Amino acid sequence: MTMLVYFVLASAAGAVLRYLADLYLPRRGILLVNVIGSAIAGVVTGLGWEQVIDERVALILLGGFAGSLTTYSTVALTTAQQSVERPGKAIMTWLQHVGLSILVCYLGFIAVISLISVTTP
Amino acid sequence: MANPAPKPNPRTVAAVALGGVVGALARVYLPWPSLTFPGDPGDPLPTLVVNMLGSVLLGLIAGYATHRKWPEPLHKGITVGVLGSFSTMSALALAVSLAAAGQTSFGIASSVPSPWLWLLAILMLVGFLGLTTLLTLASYRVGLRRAAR
Repeated sequence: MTMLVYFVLASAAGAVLRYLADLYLPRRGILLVNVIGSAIAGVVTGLGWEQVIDERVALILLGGFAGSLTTYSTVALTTAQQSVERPGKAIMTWLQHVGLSILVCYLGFIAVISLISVTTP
Repeated sequence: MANPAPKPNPRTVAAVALGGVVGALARVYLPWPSLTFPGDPGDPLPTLVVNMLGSVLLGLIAGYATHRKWPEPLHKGITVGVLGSFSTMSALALAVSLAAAGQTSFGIASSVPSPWLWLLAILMLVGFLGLTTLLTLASYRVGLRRAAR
């Protein structure tokens, strides 16, 4: 039960932060939350992988917060609208969002795994 | 022209929060759970399904809402809240990252030799992004036409 309450709070917070980011930074807000959320996903998964954090905590942070903070459908709609007049721009949008998200997620995961393997005997 | 700082409408913020919870619960508890841990965060298939579905629905609704005077809380609650939270970029980034870190095989059979696996994974991803754009545009146009009737 408590788990569900935290999940609800985490996903509500993620969605509201994304809405505010888009409102205050109309052109870069969604990219910003996608990159931040993907970095969180990499770090949290690394911590869960190494059993530093409980898997339920990982589910709340990953599925609840990072999952709601980041979005794919908004980017898809942007590329759909760009593709009519400027297909090159749509490709750039995908590259930015997907490329940067993968990069920070990968770095976050690798950094945590390496740090833990260095610090644990 | 001085651009005044936009003020968020409290009702819209509440609707986005509520919609965000609905979208996240649907993503995690539907038959295709995405981003569950310790499930299999390396399997991209659930995330691809959720993302395609969320994008096509968003196209449809955004197209339809263009010519309708929907109250802002309703509009943003569905588009930004439900569909925004339902679809996710972090799960996609995670599935690719785990494959890149050599932890998983991106849902591709492990019998496929490694260089081909990489080529397949990249082709899958690029093809999926292109298909998303095409289908979202198609659904957006369907929505526009429906609303114009």
